[in-house]
Amino acid sequence: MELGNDLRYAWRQLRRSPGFAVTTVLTLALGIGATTTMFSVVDQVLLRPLPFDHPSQLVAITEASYEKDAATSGGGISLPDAEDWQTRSHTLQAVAYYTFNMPIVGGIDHSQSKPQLPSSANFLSTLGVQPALGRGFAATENSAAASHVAVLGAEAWRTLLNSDPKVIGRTITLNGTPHTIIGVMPESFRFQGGSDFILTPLDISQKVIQDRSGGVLNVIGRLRPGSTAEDATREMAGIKQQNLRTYPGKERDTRVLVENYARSLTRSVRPGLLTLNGLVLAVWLLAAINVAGLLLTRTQGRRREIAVRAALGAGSSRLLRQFLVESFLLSLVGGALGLAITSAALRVSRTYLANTFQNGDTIHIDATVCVYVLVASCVSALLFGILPALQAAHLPILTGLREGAAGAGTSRRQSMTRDAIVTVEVALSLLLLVAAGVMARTLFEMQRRPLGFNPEKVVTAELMLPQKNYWFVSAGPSNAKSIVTALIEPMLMRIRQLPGVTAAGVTTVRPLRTNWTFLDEVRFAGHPKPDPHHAQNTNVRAATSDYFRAMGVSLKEGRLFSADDSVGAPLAAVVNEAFTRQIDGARSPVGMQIEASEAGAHKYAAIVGVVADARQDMNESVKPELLLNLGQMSPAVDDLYPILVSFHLDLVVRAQVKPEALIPAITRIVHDLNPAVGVNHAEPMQTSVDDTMGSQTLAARLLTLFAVAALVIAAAGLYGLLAYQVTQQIRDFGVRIALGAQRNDVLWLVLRRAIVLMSVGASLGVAASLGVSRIARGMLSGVDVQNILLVIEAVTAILAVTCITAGYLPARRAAQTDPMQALRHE
Amino acid sequence: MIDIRNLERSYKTGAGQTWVLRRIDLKIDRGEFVTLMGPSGAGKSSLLNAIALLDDQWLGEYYFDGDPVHAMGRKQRAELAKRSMGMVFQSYHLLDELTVAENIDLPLSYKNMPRAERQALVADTLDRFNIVGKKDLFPSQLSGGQQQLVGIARAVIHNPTLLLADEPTGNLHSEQAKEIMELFKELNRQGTTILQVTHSETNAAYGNRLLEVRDGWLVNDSSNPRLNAAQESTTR
Repeated sequence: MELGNDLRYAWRQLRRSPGFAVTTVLTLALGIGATTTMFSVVDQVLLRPLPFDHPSQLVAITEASYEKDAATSGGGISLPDAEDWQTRSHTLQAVAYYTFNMPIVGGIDHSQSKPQLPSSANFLSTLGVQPALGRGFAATENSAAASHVAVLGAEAWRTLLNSDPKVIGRTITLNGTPHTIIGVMPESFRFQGGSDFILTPLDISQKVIQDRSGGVLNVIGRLRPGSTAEDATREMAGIKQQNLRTYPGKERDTRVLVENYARSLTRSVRPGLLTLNGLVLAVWLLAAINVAGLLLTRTQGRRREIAVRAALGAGSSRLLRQFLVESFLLSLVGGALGLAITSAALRVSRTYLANTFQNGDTIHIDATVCVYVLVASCVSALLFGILPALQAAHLPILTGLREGAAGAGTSRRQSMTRDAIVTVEVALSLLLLVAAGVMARTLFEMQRRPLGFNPEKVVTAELMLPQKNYWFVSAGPSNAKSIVTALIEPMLMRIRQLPGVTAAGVTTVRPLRTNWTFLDEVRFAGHPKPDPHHAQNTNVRAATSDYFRAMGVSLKEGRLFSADDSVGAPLAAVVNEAFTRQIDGARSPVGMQIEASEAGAHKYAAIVGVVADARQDMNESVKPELLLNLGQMSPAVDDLYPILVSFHLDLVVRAQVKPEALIPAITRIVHDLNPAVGVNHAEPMQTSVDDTMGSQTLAARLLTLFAVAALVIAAAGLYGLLAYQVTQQIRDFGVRIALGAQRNDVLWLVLRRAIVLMSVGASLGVAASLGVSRIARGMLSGVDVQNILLVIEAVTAILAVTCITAGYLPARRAAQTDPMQALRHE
Repeated sequence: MIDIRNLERSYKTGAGQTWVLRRIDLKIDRGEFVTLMGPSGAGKSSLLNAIALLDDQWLGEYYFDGDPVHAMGRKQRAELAKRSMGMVFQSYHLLDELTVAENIDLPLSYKNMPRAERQALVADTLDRFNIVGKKDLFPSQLSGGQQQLVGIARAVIHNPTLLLADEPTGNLHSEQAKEIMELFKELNRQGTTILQVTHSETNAAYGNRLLEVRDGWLVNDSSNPRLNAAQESTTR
């Protein structure tokens, strides 16, 4: 019941000081809101168990070369390896595999491309999930015609078949091959961040997939109870060694890595997310410290009230409780507002979250987040409330009862506590400003780095090609019609005739496309095969002759593809500058012969030119790239043709007109030639560049927002402290002025204090920034020590100006003291 | 009721110690109305604060109803003060954010008393002091005299045996002061022991015993002629 009284009094107290209440609640809302937003992301991306049965037992099994970890390895697992693990492992109770395809789905109202996951029959049972409608795959369905069945993800069911409940037994075509729908997955089942996919059994009867030296599969395993990922890694290493002995020359000499599956999904985002979380926690801490400072100051103003309560019988614990109730009330109101900030922040950054994290589009406020807000509010209340409450509980009664106690001076200890608070605030805000500055600078550097191509007035489109089979099983000699003659050449010819078009080309992977890549080992003619430990890899792509002009990639050395590079001529290739640097920066690669096929006329490709480094990814340095002349390639001659060309191409068109105006005409031309070809993501290249920068820009903006908030909080803290001290010392200033002090002397007296506190705080902040930057440097590309020092200098200057301004206002008030009035007050 | 022997109080100053109370011996019996007088800085308020247990830095012996206060811990002293003493301040010290009724209820709220019982007591007290109509007003809405009335009501609501008043009419004009002193007289008649500090001879006249403090020494006690004689001889 007394708690109710305390709450009522606390509420009345806050209503009587709206300025204080609003400042405190907003500060807390900002701190709690920021940390709750980050918690929502961290919880739902990193902490929450995957929606599978016993998710901690699930592991991802990958292979990597000895120099690289799994994060940078490009290849997949071969089927024989996956089958060996399934049959010989004692630490794994199940091994499942899947790969990826992008077929055109037919047999529905409008054909469209859709992700397909050809998988092992035990894929769903290994994950421990069941279809919501129909059934999963039977063991016999991993082979030949039996594999023509499909299970739809919930989103695919919605988009392809309008969530038709009578879908079981219906037939759809995948690249023209009929598949019977046997099941639909529940809404809760999301894989690789979504449910817009079609699961089919992988046909393992085809010979090409049995190749032990290749590999296209992703493998998931389920550990036996009691086994760990480390146990499995050791066991896999043993199996690998046995296979190397049993299949010399065929089994690839790689490391097998077994990692918790959930962890493998978040590996790339984990460091950045945790860093951002740390910075946000600093904002929260700063907010709590600032409110503690405000409350301490306020406690001084309430000394009379505290003394009266104590004189009337309130014990220390009772006073402590009352002040903590006030803190909790402030914190809960701040928490409620913080939740609103979280809701807004999640809404604003939905696209960023969806693009950055798996399941990022589903991050929302749920019961866990609400509990977190409550806990964060209570912890905040304790953080900022305990010190002022303790101070209140132990204030000497007589001092408080003395006339004008509120205006009486404070003890040295209290004064030092408040000084320490301001110093910590300044240090923390400097740290945050440095972090934001470094991020902004990284972004600036990134934007300033040459793209290596000219996106202006360029339109690009993704062409999804219809296939009769998976790309990886259609390798080898084939009588199939070449896509070059059947589609690419007539298409480019017609596009070039469009008004305003100045160049049109096709490449297999355009710049800034990070989701497709093909990495291959570099082997030069006349050189022995390098051992696996010293092999050099390159991104292998193919492009038509006009592609470079269309994309605006400039020639650095040699020549581009020309009319001389006919189908019968030796295969021509162009490399980028990163390729030159990798092989040997001093030697020109022009004229070198590089292996492109096992045998035949195109066994070697001749490097004819070097082009500028067109960025493949904004966040990373440019990787070596080898571009083969697509115009010369055919399925019959080139081993790489099915891999590079068979299902995905990027069309690039340069024009004198607005590029988006060309999109309808381009789509029409493609569909005239082949209606089954999907035209996806047709957009100006500049849009792709902006989108790539988008997530970085938002992250930098968020961080800047936090840092500015921190700066405002620190400045408010300094201002509050000095304003309070000026009020306390108004009589002293009056006396000084009455005794002949100049107003500037008084101004300087107050300002000096601001400068001292700012200097101490800034020194601590700089030291902390240098320490943190040493740790963080590994995670940031494009930022060196010089840059960090530059940012620290700039940020310290901003902080100094802000703090001196915050100090100047109370100092000016002190200097304007009317001595008569101040002494009359006494 | 109160038996003080050799009570002393000093403050540490830069140069050494400043004594504000020197060797005070004082007995106050139940039912007395004692007035403490003396010039500013003589030690009146210091003695009152020591007796009210607001100050615990004194030396000497202090017995309250036979119990040795000097041997008690801080908590026991606080309990004793809460149970047996009421305090009236010169500047009322009402809490601005509480209504009249809530201000009066404050000492009870620190006593773990059932809410219904507290409400009944507050209602009785409001009635007794004729301030029922003002129970929902805030201190800023009252005159000085009304505020002090509330202050006294708050001091006596828990029925203390000893009422201590530090310049209770110091901020009031004479008419209001007279009403307050009449109220004190009535409370004393009802059995409450009162110790007041005042500069006013008129207020002192309401009491039945006069003490005088000078430079920290108790120099005059109207009920102890021997003390007066001793002081006179010391002065000579």
